[in-house]
Order: sequence, then structure tokens, then C-alpha cells
Amino acid sequence: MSTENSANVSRRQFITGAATAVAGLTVAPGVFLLKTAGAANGADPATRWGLLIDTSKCADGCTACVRACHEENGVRSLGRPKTDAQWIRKVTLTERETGHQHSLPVMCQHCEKPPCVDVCPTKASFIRPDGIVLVNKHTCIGCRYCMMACPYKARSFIHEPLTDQKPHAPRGKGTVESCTLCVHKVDRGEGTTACVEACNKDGHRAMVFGDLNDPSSEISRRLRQEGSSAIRADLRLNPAVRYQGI
Amino acid sequence: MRPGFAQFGLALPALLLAGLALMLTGCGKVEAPAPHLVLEARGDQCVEPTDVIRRNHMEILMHERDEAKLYGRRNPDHSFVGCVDCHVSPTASRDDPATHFCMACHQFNAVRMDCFQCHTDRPSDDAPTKRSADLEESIERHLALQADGIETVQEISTP
Amino acid sequence: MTVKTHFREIEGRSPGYLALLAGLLVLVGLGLLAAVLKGTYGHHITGMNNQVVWGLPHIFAIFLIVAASGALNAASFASVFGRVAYKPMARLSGLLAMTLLIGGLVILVLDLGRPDRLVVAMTHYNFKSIFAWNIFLYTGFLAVVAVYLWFMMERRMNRYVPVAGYTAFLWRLILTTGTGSIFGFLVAREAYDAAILAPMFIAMSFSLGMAVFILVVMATFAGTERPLGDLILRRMKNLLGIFVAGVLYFVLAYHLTNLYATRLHGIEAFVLLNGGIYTFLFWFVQMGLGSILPLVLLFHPVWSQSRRVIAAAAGLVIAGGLAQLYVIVIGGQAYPLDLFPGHDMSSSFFDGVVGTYTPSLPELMLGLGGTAFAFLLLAVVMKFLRILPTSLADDKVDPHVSSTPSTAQSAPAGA
Repeated sequence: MSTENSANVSRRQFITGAATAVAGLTVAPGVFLLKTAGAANGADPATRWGLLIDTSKCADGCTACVRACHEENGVRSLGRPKTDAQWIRKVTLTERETGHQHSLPVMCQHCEKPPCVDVCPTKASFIRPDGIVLVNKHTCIGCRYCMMACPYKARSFIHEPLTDQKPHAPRGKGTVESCTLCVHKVDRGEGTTACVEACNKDGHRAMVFGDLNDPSSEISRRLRQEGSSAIRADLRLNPAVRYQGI
Repeated sequence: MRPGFAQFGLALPALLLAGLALMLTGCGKVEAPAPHLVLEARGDQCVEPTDVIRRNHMEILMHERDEAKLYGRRNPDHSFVGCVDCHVSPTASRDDPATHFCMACHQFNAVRMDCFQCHTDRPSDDAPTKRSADLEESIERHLALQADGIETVQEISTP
Repeated sequence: MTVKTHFREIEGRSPGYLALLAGLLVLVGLGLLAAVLKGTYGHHITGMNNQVVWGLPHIFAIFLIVAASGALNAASFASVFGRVAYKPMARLSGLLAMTLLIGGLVILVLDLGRPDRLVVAMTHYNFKSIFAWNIFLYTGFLAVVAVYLWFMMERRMNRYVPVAGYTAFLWRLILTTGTGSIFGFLVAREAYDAAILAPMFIAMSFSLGMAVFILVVMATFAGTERPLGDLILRRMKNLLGIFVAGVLYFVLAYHLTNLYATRLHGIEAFVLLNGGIYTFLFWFVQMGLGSILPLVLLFHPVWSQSRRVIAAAAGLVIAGGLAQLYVIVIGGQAYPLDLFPGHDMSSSFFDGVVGTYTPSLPELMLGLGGTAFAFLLLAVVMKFLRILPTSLADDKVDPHVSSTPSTAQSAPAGA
């Protein structure tokens, strides 16, 4: 039996390879064709993906980014606001001394030194080589320690069984999740996130996505020219999400 | 030894023997229940030969999932979404294992898998490219067999 | 001259004992039911939410773990500090430490979002996480104390008891430091991120462990009608008073230091003034009922003579400990994160507002189930192993005291 197999190995490999190519092209043309050279090798450690949010352009009452993110990732409200997951939210700020108000979106800040990664007992909360902080739900045991540790309250716990998840965004009961910086879009080479896309489409153009380590990217140029700050910068976590106007 | 313990001396071996006898009665020709008609897979061929994929799909999936999740190295040939898109019927559900390609075998073999607690358990119907001509053909064949009164794979005569 | 202590299994046939086992089994069953419900329907059936992620089960679990570490007190006093009077109770002390820890761990594991992934937790470690270290520390503690117990119970291993005793004592100190550091290491929240939390938890372990131990000793000796002398009881109640004072010291140091920092005035006002339930629990239960009143009761020249008073004081200390954990764990989470100092925040994700948390029945069931499991284990093991000494009468405890016909007479006044 084994000799028969080994004699046919090279022929089988050829047929398998050819059939796989055909099957791949037939079954998942969207994924296959959009694959670019960068994404093919996985997360590039020379890259650092980040967001720049100009809060002066952020319109009060506009939730385009929130709706787009939740639509893209299949995050649905289950009618229980206290336990519903939210990957991104609009925060309205009122300065106590002056009464000045403005709003801005807050999501996982994708810190360079994430406290959530430090405290996770199983390494489920981890930072990818390209700076995106994710939860590996295969290893997450649902202890919620990362939720205690996050200085930005960015994480949500899934409190009930879920169905009809988006294929590119698996989510399940008993695990923790947060903004993935649309890692599925990033890996496809689309170079944007759902929130940034929606903000641009709506004409506000308050958000920019890009490679912080690439000096020629739009985000790097704007950061160099205009400057930025981070939420809770005193914690020295060096987040990848930068803000202007806070 | 406390008085009255001697009578337990015989009871314990007797109980063990009885238990053994009961277990042995369970041995015998196992009639496997006929697997239900699960929608035929789309595409020309699976990404790996049948005997390879049948034995090793777990290792392949585990390896690829770690690569994809931790390092972003996604292999479209071994994508889990790809498996579901090809093999699982759009109307299948993880709650009704008889209709679901993966759950049917897993339930019969009592091999626990929790993939579908997080991953969607059916091909997404919002991407028209996924509902290829293959899928429509598959569904037609499936419905035709059911209309002929054939409900289980065993009822299909193999040529 | 050492007094030879006789240990004997408890009879375990009285209706009272069987009723106790039945009651504990019912509670354990309810706890398992709660865990199954949670596993089926998800955590939304509990009161825990995305703002307050750890709730009542964690209060019970942390209490049990801290008390477990402290329950080893008596054994440590005997083996490490050479207090001969505690030697007869060393086995009970070790066993109680193990069972309390097991009860706490059971609650923690069953409360996980994915308890079926326990094997993952035990094979994937992130050694920067104090949680991961705690998994080692907790299981290691069980192993160390098991060995310690064996050395105490096996005559030919008795000479190794001091080594095991020192190891267990050091281990429990590291373990409790780890438990306190779960909160002490969190930079995100203003109530945490303090180095003092680790030693404060050590002080709590001494106090809560002693309180639980006193109650267990009184209950088991009363239940088995074995003599319990006033001498040992007086020593334990004095120690309990000192430990309660120790916790009070750390609480004072923590709050006074926080009050000095303007940026922490928000959280201090929340706990001390306007936090609603948390303020009530802090002042009335933790400080009043759980610290001041027990101190008065335990050091009062007349009242502290009565066993009922001592038991009541121990019970109050336990209530105070639970309240303290509630304020630390839940109050610390409820207070909103200050993302933008000087600004008021509002959002759909409950930013800027105090997180609401109402304990729910499944959580209470789970917490009580784990506690009941701890005591069920204790009760069952005591029936099969020689854990409990036959007598803790004064003459058995202290060879210098002459044996008196009645062990019920109260000892001379003096705390």
C-alpha cells in the first residue's frame, strides 16, 4: 500500500496542485484575486498600522464610523446595552471649566506596549508583528482580565451565543474582542478600514489609516507636519491611534 | 475490620463481574446509522486528496489558523472559510448536525469541535460569487434526490 | 516535654453531620446548575457586563483564596514560629487551606467564559501575566501543602515537617502577593495600580484566614463534642485582633496616600463619600462591623471571654472582608476610567458614568456552590483521615497547665 502511494506521489502532487489552483480560483475568486504581494507574506514587522483622527472634523452626532465598523464585522445590538459589544464608540467631551464640547471616536488604541497583552494568561491577547493588537479567540479562556487592564475600555466580552457571524470576523460566546483595525481588509491589501472608508465617504475626512513606519505615507506626513497626541499619553503605551484636537 | 464487613467481601467482586458482563453485552456488530443526505460539495476537487484531508484536516486547520491569526500568513488554499463555502449547505445549521457537513461526522464520531461557536457555520449568502453555478447544480441534485424519497447516503446506489 | 496529641477521624454518623453534608451538596448542586446555565446562555444571565466584568463570584473566589492562604496560619505558627500550642491544629490548618483554595479555584474556573479551555490555560503561559503565575502558585500551593500534611501525618517523615512548613509559609506569602498584584499591577484603573495592594492582601489573608479558622475549629469541636479549651481560643482571638488591626493599618495607609494625590480625589470621594453602595459597604461593613467592632469585642476584658462573642467577632471580620473585597474589586471597576482629565465624558459605551452592577442569582449560586464545595471536602476528609485532634483542652495544649476536671470554666481575665 505504501509503495503504491510513494510511486504516485509526484503525479498526485501535480494533480493536487493544479486542482487546488482551479478550486481556489473557482471557489474564492474575491480573496484570491485581491491578494497583493505584501499580504502574501503575512504581517510585516517593518510596518506599523495606525490611525490619525482629526477631532475638529468629527461631527457631533455623526456615527458613520461606528455603524460601518459594526456592519463590517457583524457586531449587532442584542437589545442589552450593558452587555452588547461595541468595537468603537463616539465619545462626547465637555470641558468642565469652559463648557467647550466636542466628540471623537474611541476604539482599541493598538498600543505598542499593550497592558492587555501583558496581563493575558494564555497569550490570547497579542500584538501582531505589524502592530495590530488582536485577541486569538482560539486561545481565549474568557477570564476578562484584559478588560480590567485596558486603559481605554476598548474590549467587549460576548455574553451570549452568537449566530450568523461574518466569515471574515468570527466572534463567539465567552471570548473577548475589540477593534481589529479591520485586519481582514489589511491582509487583503485594501489599505483602509471600514471606519475610515465610511468617514471619507460621508465627506468628513476626519480619519486617516496608514503605515506609521513609512515616512512617505499620508498619515506619517500629516503627523510630522501637524503633530498629534494620544489619549492617556502619560501611560507611555505609545498607541497607534493618534488624535488631533484633544 | 468492622463486624459485618465480611458480607461485603463477596458483594464487591460480584458487582464488578456484573458490570463487566453488562459492558460485554454492548460488544457486537455496530450498526452505524445511515448518514443523511448532506449537500454535495462544490468545485472539482477538495484542496487535498480525500484520504489525506479526512485524516489530517484537523492538523491542517490548526496549523493554518495559527499562521493566519498570529502572523497574518493567510493561505487561501487551506482557508476555513473555503471549507465551509465548498462543503456546507447554505441552509445547514450547527444545531441540526444531520444537515451540516462537518457536524454530521463529528457528532457521529463524538469528536468535539467548537469552531462554529465563533465561525459562521454556513456559506455567506451575501457574496454572489460564492453562490457559483456549482452550488446551484449541487442544490438541484440534492433536491432531486430528496424528491425521489432518498434521505440518506446509504440509499444512493453507488455505480 | 511535649504533649502527645491524639488525632482521630470524626464519627460522621450523626444526623447533624449527614444533614450538613446534604445541605452542602445542595449548595454545590446549585453552583453547578448556575455554571451550566452560564455555559448555555452566556454571561448575560449574570449581573456582570462590559463595565463591571468581575462580580460576586470573584468576590467569593478571592475571599476563599485569601482565606486559604491565611488558614495555614496555625500550621505556620507551629512549624515556622515554634508555637507548640498550635501543633495539634496544624493538620486541620493544612487541610482547610487546601479545601478553601480548591473551592476558590472551582468558582474561578466555572466563571470563565470558556471553562472548557482550561487545558489551554494550563498549557499556554504568558509569564508576564500575574494571572499565569497565579495558576502555578495556586496549584503549587496545593501540592506543597499536601506534602506538608503528609509529613505531619506520617511518623517517619515528621522530621521533615519544618522544611515543609517553611516552604509552605513562603509559598503562601508569594501566592497572596500574587493575588494582591492582580489588582496592583493594573495601571488602567485609579483604585488599583498601587504597590500597597500586595501587602494589604497579605494582611487580609492573616485576618480572614484566622477568622475562618477560629469558626471552623469552634464548629468542628462543638459538632464532635471534643473539648476545646479557653487557652488556645484566647490566643487565637488575640491574634485575630492583631491581624484585624494590621489590615486597618494598610487600609489607612492606602487611603491617606491616595488622598494626598489630587488626581485620585475622584476615586477617593467615590469610595469614601458619594459611591452609594460602595461607601456604605466601606464605612458601615468594612470599617464599622468588620474592623472597629471586632477589635472592641476581641480586646474587651469581659466580653472577649465569651465564646459566642469570639465567634461573632470572627463572623464580623469575615463580613468585613467580603465587603472590603466588594469595594476593591467591584467599586474599583465601577468607577469610570478617566480618559480625558478635566472633561466630562458620555458615550453609548457607558464612558464617564459609574458602572452599574447588580449581583444576580446565578452568581450567588456559583459563589455559594464553591464555598460549599470547600467545606464539603473538609467535612468528608475529616471523616476518613485523622485530621482533628481529640482534645484541645488547656492541659493538652499547654503542658504547664494542670488538668482540671471541668474544661468549661473561663480563663482568668486579661486579653
